[in-house]
Amino acid sequence: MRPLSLKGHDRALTRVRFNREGDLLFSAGKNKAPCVWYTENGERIGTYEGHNGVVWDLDMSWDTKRMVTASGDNSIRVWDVETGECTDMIAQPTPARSVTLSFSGNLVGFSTLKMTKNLSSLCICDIRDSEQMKEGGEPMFRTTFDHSVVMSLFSSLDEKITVGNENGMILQYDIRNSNEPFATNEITHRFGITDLQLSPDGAFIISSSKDKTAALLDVTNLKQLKQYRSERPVNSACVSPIRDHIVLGGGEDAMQVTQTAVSAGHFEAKLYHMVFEEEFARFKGHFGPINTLAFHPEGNIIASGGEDGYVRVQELDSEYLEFTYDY
Amino acid sequence: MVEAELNKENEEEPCFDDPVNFVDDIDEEDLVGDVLKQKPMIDEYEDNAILVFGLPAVGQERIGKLKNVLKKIFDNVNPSNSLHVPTDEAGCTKGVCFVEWPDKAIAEYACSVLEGYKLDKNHTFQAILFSNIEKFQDIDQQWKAPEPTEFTDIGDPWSWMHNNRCRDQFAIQYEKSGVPTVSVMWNIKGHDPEVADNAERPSWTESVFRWSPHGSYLTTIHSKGVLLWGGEKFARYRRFTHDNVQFVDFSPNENFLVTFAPSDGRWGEDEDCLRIWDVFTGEQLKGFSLYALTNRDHLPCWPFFCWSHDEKYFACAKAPEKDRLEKEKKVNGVSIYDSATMELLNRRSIIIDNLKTFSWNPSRNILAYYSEGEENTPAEFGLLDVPSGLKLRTARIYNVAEAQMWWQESGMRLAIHTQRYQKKVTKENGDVKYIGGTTSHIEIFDLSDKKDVSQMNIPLKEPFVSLGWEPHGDKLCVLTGNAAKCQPLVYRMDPTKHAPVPISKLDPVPQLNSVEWAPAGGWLAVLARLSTGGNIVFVDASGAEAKRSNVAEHPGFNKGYWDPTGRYFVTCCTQGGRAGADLGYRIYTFQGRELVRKNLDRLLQFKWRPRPPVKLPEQKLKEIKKNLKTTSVKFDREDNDEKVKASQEVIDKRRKIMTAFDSVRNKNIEMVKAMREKRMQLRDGIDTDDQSLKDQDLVEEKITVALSTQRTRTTSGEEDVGED
Repeated sequence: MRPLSLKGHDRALTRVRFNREGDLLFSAGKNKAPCVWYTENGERIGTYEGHNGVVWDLDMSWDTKRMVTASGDNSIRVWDVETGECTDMIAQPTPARSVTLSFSGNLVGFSTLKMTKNLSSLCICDIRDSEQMKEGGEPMFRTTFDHSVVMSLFSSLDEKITVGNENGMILQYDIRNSNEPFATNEITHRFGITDLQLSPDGAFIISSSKDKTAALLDVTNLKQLKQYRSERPVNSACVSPIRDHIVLGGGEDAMQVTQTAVSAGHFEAKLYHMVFEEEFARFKGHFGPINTLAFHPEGNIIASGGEDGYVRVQELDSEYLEFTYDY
Repeated sequence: MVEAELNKENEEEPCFDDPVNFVDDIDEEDLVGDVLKQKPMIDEYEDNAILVFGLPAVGQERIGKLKNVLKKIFDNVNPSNSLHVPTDEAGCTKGVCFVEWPDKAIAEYACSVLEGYKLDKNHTFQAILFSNIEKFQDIDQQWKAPEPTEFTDIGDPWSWMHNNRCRDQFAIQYEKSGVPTVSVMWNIKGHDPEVADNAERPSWTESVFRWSPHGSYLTTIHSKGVLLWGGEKFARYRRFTHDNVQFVDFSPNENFLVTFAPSDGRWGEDEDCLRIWDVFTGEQLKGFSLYALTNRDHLPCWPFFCWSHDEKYFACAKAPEKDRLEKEKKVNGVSIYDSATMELLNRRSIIIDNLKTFSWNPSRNILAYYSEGEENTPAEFGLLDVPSGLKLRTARIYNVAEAQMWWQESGMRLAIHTQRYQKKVTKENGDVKYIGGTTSHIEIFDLSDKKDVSQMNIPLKEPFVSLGWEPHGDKLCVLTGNAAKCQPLVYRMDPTKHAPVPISKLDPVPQLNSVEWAPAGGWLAVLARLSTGGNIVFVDASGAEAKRSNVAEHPGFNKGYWDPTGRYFVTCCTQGGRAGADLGYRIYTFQGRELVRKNLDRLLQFKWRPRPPVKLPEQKLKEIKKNLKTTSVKFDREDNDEKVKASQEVIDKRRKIMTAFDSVRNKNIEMVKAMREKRMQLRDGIDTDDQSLKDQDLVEEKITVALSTQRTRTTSGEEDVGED
């Protein structure tokens, strides 16, 4: 099947995600309105209007009723997926960089950037508690950092949250203890973290970094299990729900894209064997770096969002499903 | 007479003796000061005089004749000299004479001229400065005979040649987890390269490494000097101490090593910044002062010395002379040294006016040179026989703007590319402009005929790019065109025809810039080095027509090498190449199929290990060719076994990795499973992990899937549908 190339954002993509069933595809970009699409035909169902700046991240609940977004307009918004209405807004002093919903979909975790005197912060709020959600409300969890936290992820049910910061450190917190991290990993990545995703079976976290690598971490203690090397900074990586494969994407830094040939930019998405760390396939499509990747829950579709402003929905052909490693 | 005698007797002789108590308090200085100033000093004499040994010892009666002969010789050097021939009691000469010259400079000159002068068959002069005699008088009493250096047994220096699969080695220098490392690897077809025995060492060299020309030694460069490593386990073989050494070069048969370190002193204060060593003994044979050789403080090129194929001679450009204003003139000759004595051949450089470049024939002692033309003189290309100095062939060509020369590896032919202009205008600031553009020509000198050197010409229609000879065959590949469209032209030298015969019709490819023939000939790779596309065109020229077999791509690669057997080709991106290219190497078969692709941090060098030349007798070669079919069956079987074994190894390795991984995975999945109750509770009592529940609660929705789309004019606002 031919890949779908979706043009709904006029600026670079920041996040694509499938819902749990995989029939809907959500995308956020540097323009103001996140979109929702039918996975099947690439038809856009609608947009979520309200933000007044770049939307850095989005996440939706397991039942696809609720969506949360983090935006550069210094706010976190909670949306009703079906109606497109903004139900809640949490204002912050600095741009919100990442957002994550817990397993139950009731807790929202988000991080904000460090700016002048404001430190970077990680907060968790209970959406059901109107006290926490109102203006000036006190979140149930709050901690601050000297280095901006750029990625956050509820990694174990509603209990643990894992974050990655701009100089490559990954930390895990128990939400009952905001004073000190439950686990840390400072050695895996040398440069900034670009993405953190949970493996579909809940056993691993996959991290990607500007240091040209992605890594598979143990969800319980953040220990590095595997490392995948690429030739260019990696902007996103995710684990296949059906096979022992991972896909990663990235490319020449957006700053230098204009000076490089497409072939030298490494704008392909690359498939690696999760356990043997070997690259076995790659597919082209974007003409700028890939910023975000998502595996369809069925495992046969990969969605990617690029700096070029396109979302590509790539269905993997049957040869991929038949491909096996001898061991 | 008588009276006078009488008078003498009568007169009392006055006494000139000093009085008894007289003290001589008058200084000689006061007495005869003016004469004293002219008093000859002993060291003045010593500087101006020379001793000449090796004279015939003759009797008294023939001294006069000898003196006459000597006088004639010495007068030829400088007429103002004085000769003294010492004799023994019987009046016979001792075979030695003293000659005094007006000043030190003349004495030194005379010394250099007379040293080795042949008087007749049996008598050769040896001359030394008189002042040097002290050195012989004052022998160091502490001197002892040098200890014999212990033999360092490094094992078989050619052990890698015995590899039963005939594999080749290569060495790479890169950064392994942040540490600069040199690794010697085995190239294994269908397998990742493997590190050779004990041959991956961090910080093995402080700058770069180098193979010796026959591959026997790996050379590493350190601040204190140069080290050679060899044998099966790369043990240390030799050490050559040379502080701050920068460049290293071997003679073609790796018997001599040349090292260079820049000197701190300026203006000729470097005594021996260029050193020649004997590789076998580790001794320094000669030290040269760069300033004396070139009249400069900076190295003009490296390798500085060009060696003849048999290492008998090495040559460098003669130092440019300076005019009265200390302005450098053009190089006007080449200095050839004899490696047996380390002295200038025939004691003088060979004069070639306006010499631009020269190069040795790779199989004979013939030097090709190019001397630039001037306003009204043509450029000259010539072949010079060494040591006789005879010109075997010259070609004079007018209006040459630029020229390069290429010897064929077999030494049979020389190709010369000349860029010729119509009219030249020299601007005031010295810039040269060629009016009406330039045209490219190729001249070929053919030395295959023993008696005569013939000359051929290929005029080119397109601008010349590069050229390459088949090392031992009869083919030539010329690249012509421009960056956008460059065409490789393959020619065959037909001895029955007067011009090379074109045998190719290859399509142009952008940005090609160099030609690499396989060492065994027949195949060649045409490269687009340092280009965005990074094309490598593999051409099969073994048949009657040269055909393209494959085109590979390696974006931004800057180097391409054939392995010493011509079975594999490697392209690499190393540091200092194209900015932003991924550093690493790729190995291809000779037909251009990619075998290995490796990316390495800070890759600095990739060098195949050269093989020493092995000459098989003709008969053996014929035999091998005849039995190729039967013997290759065995090799094919071995290859197959290897493949099966290798994949078995990989599978075993993978199994191990998988088992280790699974233990972690199972533990975590168990943990997730154990939380089932909790998970259901969090999601309103629905078990989202249960696949059977998936189809429940589905809402039917109708959507259309476009099978084909057509662009139509729409009113604005309708463009929300994604394109496919």
